[in-house]
Amino acid sequence: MADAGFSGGMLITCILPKGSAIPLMKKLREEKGLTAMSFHHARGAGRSGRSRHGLGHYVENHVITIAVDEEQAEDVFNFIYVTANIGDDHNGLLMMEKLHMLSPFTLPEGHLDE
Amino acid sequence: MADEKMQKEGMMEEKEIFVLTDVSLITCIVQRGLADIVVNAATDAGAQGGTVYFARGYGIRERLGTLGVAIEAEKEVIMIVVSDEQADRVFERIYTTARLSTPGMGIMFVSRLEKAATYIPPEVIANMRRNRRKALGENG
Repeated sequence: MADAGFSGGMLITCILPKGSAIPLMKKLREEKGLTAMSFHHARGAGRSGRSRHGLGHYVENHVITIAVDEEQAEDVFNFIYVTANIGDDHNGLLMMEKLHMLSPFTLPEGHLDE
Repeated sequence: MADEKMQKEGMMEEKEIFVLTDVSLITCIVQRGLADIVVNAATDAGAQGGTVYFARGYGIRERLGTLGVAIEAEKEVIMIVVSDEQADRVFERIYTTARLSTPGMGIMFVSRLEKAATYIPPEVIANMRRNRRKALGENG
């Protein structure tokens, strides 16, 4: 596969409170020029909401998955940390892992700006 | 998650960024309805929590059970972030509690994270700063 010329990258996964994904993705697109990202819904449970009889309540989350070049990864990670206030309580979790191979994703020129 | 190694990454727009290193992501895919068991097992073993979402599985299901109905195609995917030193313990606890050795029950894998970031209580940050100052003092 090395002949195919695919280089590695980074996968950034961001677990956010419900409703935070679309505004953040918009900012990532506008300010960082990212296109290879998606989000899905999830539910989260942790120790803080746990009762004596097991897990307490689940909280609705949005999970964003972003594939970026290795050179851009640090910048995007820091941008998300600051923009989504990840360091504040109950504001989610941000993680980054190395990808062995990453296929390039580009949009056709003149695409509709939707 | 207080035992992960923390690093102060730097300032961005006058905001300190604290990241966790030496962390792993445990991903577990099980039949729909079993996620609670997995998250409970993980938190019992020391994990802070988990994130669950639905997915649809496809594979050798058709070859298992009667006309493939024995294995639920609807899946739940559970993501759990743990420190590297906790990873083995949490992995084993989930494996035994969710009975993943049973054929068709599910799969689980661990991937190493470059870094992670989340809310870190101020007392943990203060403790880390104290330890760092102490280490710098000892080294002159």
